[in-house]
Amino acid sequence: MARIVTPGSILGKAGEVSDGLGCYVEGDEAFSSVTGITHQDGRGRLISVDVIRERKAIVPLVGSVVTCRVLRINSRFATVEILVVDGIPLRSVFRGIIRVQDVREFEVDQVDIPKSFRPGDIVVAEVISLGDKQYHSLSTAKDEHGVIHALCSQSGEAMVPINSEQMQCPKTQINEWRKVAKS
Amino acid sequence: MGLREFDYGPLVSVERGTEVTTRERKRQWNELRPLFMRTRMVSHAAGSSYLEAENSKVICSVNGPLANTGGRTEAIERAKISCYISRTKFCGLEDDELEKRATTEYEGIVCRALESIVRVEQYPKSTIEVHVLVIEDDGSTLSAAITCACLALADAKIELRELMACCSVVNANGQLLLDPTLDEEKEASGSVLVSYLATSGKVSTVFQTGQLAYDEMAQAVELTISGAREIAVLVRNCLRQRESKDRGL
Repeated sequence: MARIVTPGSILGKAGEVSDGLGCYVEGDEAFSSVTGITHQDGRGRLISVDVIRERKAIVPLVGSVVTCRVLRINSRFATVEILVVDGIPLRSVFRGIIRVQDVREFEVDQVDIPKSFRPGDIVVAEVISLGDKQYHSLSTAKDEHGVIHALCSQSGEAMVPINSEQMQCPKTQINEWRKVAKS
Repeated sequence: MGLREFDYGPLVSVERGTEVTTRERKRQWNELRPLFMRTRMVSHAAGSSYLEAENSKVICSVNGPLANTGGRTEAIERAKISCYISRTKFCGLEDDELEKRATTEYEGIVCRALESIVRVEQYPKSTIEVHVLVIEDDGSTLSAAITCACLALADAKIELRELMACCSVVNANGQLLLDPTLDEEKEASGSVLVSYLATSGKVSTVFQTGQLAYDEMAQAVELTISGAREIAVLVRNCLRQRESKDRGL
């Protein structure tokens, strides 16, 4: 039975509840940490406290898949702003950097940042570390991570991916280099 | 109706002190004022709340978790809570009294009280901003601010260990008074504020000013806890109501 719980509501004994989303274990009891409704798995075991998705408070953590916009590039890294974490829009923009060695998995020493990202591109990446004071460190090494939306530098049209390294403008037929995300 | 020559001045003027408060209506020394609380009062904030105890009215909004803006070195692995308290011009305090209220000290107290319940380790490299606005001050506004801030944090879906309620007691002419009004605060010789964690039954903050004898202090803390327990029930119900409304239950 789903029920409404508030922060501090006792959900059950520590063994019955996995230390999942919206709950925490202290001592031998498990407590809710948000206002939401309890969520059970198939066997009736309580697994998490569900919050209305749009209202979730979220920050980028190590391992989160983030959607970000490229702000500026240089030969060593691209600076991005993180807009969305795990499909939930952030309440404020976090800064991140993608270093040249984290762009792809193979031929790492051959990577050229201007041939991978351009300012304005929308990129899906993974957080690999919380980084320094200002920036989260991101990586696009996985096949499914990379540029998902880019505009042609000549015509301003949204480009279409043609392979894992290039995108084409439908208007001018110009090919541009990108680290394209595999869809 | 033609334009008047002088169209200045207040639209409405309210005479202060015309309303009869409950202590005047023989509120018991250990009785709280009737409380009203509600969440989601500020549309652009992530979470907000409003708390009213007769003439004391407090509004609180929470922004965040926000990205750290750099500058000073801040702990990377946990969230920082920053608290701002402001008062309206018409809050009922004279200018010289406003100066006497150490707002920065109060901000620190609210901050520390909130740090005891927020799961700061869940929000690394971020800042949670808590803004408290005292609309009208008729005593016990600091405890109202803490309760209200907890409610707003819960409304913003920030992970909390448990809910917190806060209550204060003054010692006026040898008599302890729970949830004092401004007049009672003024003639008091000492005051105690306690914030109480609703689930574990622990006390997270004790703030004492003025003089209190040892046995009075013990009695005062017990009195505040009993008051805070009542408030905690209201806080929980308020959040429950909002959640069932949101989900259309």
